[in-house]
Amino acid sequence: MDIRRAICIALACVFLIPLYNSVPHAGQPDPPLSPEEEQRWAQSGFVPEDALSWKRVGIGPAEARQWVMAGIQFAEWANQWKGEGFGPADAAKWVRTANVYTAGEFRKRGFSPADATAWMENGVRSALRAEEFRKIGLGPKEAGRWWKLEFYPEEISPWRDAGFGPEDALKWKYGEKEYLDDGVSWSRTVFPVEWAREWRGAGFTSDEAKRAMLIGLKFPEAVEWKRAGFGTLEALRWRDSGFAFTEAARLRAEGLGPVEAEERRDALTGKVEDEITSLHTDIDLREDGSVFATETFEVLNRPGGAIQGCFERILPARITLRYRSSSSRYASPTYERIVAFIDGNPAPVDVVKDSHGDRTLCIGGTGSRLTEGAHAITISYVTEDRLITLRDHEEFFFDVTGRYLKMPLRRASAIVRLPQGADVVFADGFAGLSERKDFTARVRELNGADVVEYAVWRRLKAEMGFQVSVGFTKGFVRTSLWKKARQFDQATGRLLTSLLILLLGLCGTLSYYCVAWHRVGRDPKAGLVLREFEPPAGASPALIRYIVKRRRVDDVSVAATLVHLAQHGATRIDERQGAYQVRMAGPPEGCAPLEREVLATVFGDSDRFVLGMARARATLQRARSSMTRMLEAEYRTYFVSNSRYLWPGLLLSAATVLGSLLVLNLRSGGKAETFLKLYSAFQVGTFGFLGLLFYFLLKTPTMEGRTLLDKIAGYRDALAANYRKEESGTSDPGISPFLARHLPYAMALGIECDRLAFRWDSTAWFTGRSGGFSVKDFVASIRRRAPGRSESP
Amino acid sequence: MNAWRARFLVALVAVGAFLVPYGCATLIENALVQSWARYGFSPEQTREWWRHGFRSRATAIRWKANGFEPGEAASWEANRFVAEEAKEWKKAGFDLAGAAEWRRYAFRHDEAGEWQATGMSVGDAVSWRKQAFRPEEARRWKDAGYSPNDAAKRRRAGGSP
Repeated sequence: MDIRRAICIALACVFLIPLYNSVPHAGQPDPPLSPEEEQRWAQSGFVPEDALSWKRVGIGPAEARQWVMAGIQFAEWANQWKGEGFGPADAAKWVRTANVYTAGEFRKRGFSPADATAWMENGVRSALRAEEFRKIGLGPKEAGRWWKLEFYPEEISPWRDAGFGPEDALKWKYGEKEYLDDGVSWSRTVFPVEWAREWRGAGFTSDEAKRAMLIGLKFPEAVEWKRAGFGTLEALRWRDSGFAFTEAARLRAEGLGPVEAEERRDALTGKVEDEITSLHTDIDLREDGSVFATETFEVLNRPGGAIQGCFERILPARITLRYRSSSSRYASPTYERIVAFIDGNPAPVDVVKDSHGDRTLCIGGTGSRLTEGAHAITISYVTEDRLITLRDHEEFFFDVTGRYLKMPLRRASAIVRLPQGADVVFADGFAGLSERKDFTARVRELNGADVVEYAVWRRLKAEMGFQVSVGFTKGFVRTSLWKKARQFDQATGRLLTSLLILLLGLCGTLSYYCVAWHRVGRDPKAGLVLREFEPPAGASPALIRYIVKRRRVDDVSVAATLVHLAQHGATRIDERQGAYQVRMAGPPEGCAPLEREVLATVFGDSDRFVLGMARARATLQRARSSMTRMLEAEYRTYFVSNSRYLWPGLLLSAATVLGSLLVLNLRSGGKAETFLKLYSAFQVGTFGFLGLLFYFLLKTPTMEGRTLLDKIAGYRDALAANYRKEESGTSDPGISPFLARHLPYAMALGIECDRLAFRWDSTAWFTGRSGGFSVKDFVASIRRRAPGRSESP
Repeated sequence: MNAWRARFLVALVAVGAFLVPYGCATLIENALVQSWARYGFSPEQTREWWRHGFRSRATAIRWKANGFEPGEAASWEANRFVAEEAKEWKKAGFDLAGAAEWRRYAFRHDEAGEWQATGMSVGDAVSWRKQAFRPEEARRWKDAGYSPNDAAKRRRAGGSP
C-alpha cells in the first residue's frame, strides 16, 4: 500500500468514526409478541405496544398491572422505582411524596413516607440534611424554622443549648451587612454563641450588646452600668463625659444630662483654660472636586492658657478618607489660597511644615501674640482630594477638627454644600471619641443644591474629633484629569512626580551624552590603509599589542618584548629540555625606552633567569607593571578618554536619582521599603549602565592615533599575507629573513605563526631544539609554573 | 510570460486573496467555537453571544451562569450592570429600566425593593432617604400627610406620625 492511500484511509477513519458515533443507534428491534403473550398482556389490560415496553424492562403482565395500580403508569418509570428497591406497594406510598430518588434516599435513612412528607413540607428537602437534623434531636417543624434561616445542623446545637430560638439566634449571631463596592458582595460580623449567651444573660438586647462591642465597652463594665439603670447608649454618653456609673446615677437623679454635668464639673474644678467657644466650618464642594472651606473660630484666650503666641491651626498632610462601610483610603490633600482674618481684619499667615508634612498655620504671623480675650478668627482655604468614588454613589469626607485638638471646643458645627443637582444619599460622620456619633445632621435644599447641616451636641476635648461624611448621587462632580493625576500623585507619596523627574533626568542625561559623543567622542574617519612592510616608526611590539588588545599587557606582550630585545642583541634565549633561559647578551642598542626599562627591570639583580621559575615569574611581573605604566603614558598621546565630558553626565545622573528618591514621601512599612529598594536599584543600574556605555563611547583616537591605527592595519595585512604564504608555500624548513625579523610584531599582532620553524641558523639570538624557536612554546613557558627546576639548566 | 498565463495568475491571486483570509478566519472561529463548547456553549449559542457583543468567554459564562440570555445580558451590560448585580435586581423584581433608574439614584437592589414595596416612586424615595428615613417609617409619615422636611423636623423634636 502506498503512503497516499494509507493517509486517505486514516483521514476517512478520523471523520467517519465520529460520524458513526453521532448517529443514534436504534439497537436491535424488539422481537414481536407471540399470540399467547399478546393474549396474556391483553388480559392484564395492556395493548401490544405498551406490553412490549414493559417486557423490555423485564416486567411481566401481573407485576405491570400492580405498578399501574400503584400510580406508576410507564414501564421506564416503574423500572426506576424498582431499581431503587421499591415494590409496587411501597412505591404507591411514596409516589405522591417525592420523586423516585428522593424517596429512595429518605427510605434508605429510615424515614416513613409520612415523615418524609413532614420534613419536605417544612423545607428540608434533602434526606441527608433531615437525618442530620434528626440526629441532633430536632423534629421537622423546628428544624424547618432553623433551616429557613440558613442554620446548618452542626451550628444549631450550641445556640439551642444556650436557649436561643432560631429568630433570636439569627439576631445575635450576625452583625449588619456591609456591602462592597460591586453592589452585590457583602460581609458581616459573626458573633459567637458564648458571647451572645453572656450578654443576653445579663439582660442586654442584641443591638445593645453589639453597640457595646463596637465602642469597646467591656462586659463587666456594661453590666455595672445596666445595674445602675443605664442603657448602653446612655452609659456610653456618661462614660465619654468622664463619669463612673455611681456618679452618673446621682447626677441623673438631679436631672442633669451628661453634657451639662460635665460642664458643671469643669466649672467647679476651677481650672480655667483657653478654649474655642465655637467652630463653624462652611464646606463648599465644587463641581470640579475642589473644596472651599471657611472655618470660623471663636476663641477665648485666657492668661496662661494653651495659646502662648499666635493662634495655630494644623492642616494635616495625609488624611484617611473613611468609607461609610468602614473601609478607608489615604489622601494627601493640598491647601491653597489660605487667607485669615482676626476679628474681621486681614491677618498674615505663616505656614510651617513639620517632618510629617503637616502645615501649621500661624495666624497673625510667627512672632505675633494673640491678645487675651475673645477673638473671632476666620481661616479660608481651598483643598481637594476629599472624595471617594464608589460604584453607585460618591462619598465626601472632611475632617473638621483635624487630628489635633489643642484646646477644648465648646460648640462645633459644619455645613456641607453639594454641587447643584447632587442628591444626598446619607449624611453621616463621627463626633466625640472614636466611632461616636454625637451630632445631629439635617439636610435641606438651598438654591437647588442639597446642603447638610451638622451640629455637635457635646463639648469636644482632647482625643475627640469631628468628621463629616456625605454620600451623594454620582455624576455631579467631574474631576479633571490633571487633578486626578495630582491626587494620585499625592496619594501614592509623589510617585508620579518621582517618575517624571526620573524620566526628565534620563532624557536630559541621554541627550547630554549624545551631544558630548557627537562633539568629541566620534572616532576620526579611517584613512587609506596601505600595506606597510615596516612597523610604524617608534612603535614597539608591546605598544602595538597594547593598542590592539585595548590597553592590556599580557604574556604575549612580555614574550614579544623579550624576543625583540634578543633580536637587538641585548639578550639571548636558550632552550634545553623545554625550559627557556633568558640571559643578558649585550647593550640594548636600537631598542625603545620601554624595552630598556624592561631590560633593566628583569636583569636588575642577575644576568639570567629561567622562565617558569618562581623568581622569573616575580621578575616578569615587575616588568609587566613597569610596561603597563609606560605604555599607558605612551597610549595617551594616541588616544584621549574625554572623561571630563563624562562628569557632567554623571552629576546629572546623580542629581536625577537623588531628586526622584528625595521627592518620594512613602509611608514606612515593608512594601514601601521593598519598593524603594527596587526603585533605587533600578535607577542606579540604569544610570550606571548609561555612564559605562558612554565611558567607552567617548574614548577616541587622536589624529596621530588614527594614523597609527591605519599604519598598524596596513602592517598587519602585509605581515599576515607573508606569513600565510610562508605557511602554505614551500617545503623549505627555513623561514625568510623578513619574517624572522618581524617575528615580535607578528606575535604582538596575534598573527598565527606557531607552525613555522625559526631554525637556529635564521635566529641567531636563539639556541635550543633542532626544530627551531617555537612561539607557542615560548609564550606558554612564561605562563606556566615550573616547580623543582634548577635555576641553571 | 504570455497573456493567458498572466491572466491566470491574476485570477489565482484574486481567489487567493479571498480564500486565504477566509480560510484563516474560519479556522480561528472554529477553534474559538471549540473552546467555548468546552464550557457548555453549543456553536449556535456561541455565535449568538458573539452577535450580542460578548467576545469574552468569561463574561459570557458569568452572564449565562446568572440566568441571562445573550440579548438580555447585552442590554443589562450596556447599562453597566455586572451579571451578579443584574441577577439581584431581577430577583428583587425590577426590569432593566427600573433597575437603572433606581441605581442612578444610588439605591441598592435590596433598598430599592424595600422602597418600591412601600409604593414610593424613586423621587419620593430620594426625598425621604435624604432625611434619613427608612422605607416603612417614611410610608407611615407620608400616610400621615407629612412631607419629608416636615417629618424630619417633627421627628427631631421627638414627635411621631
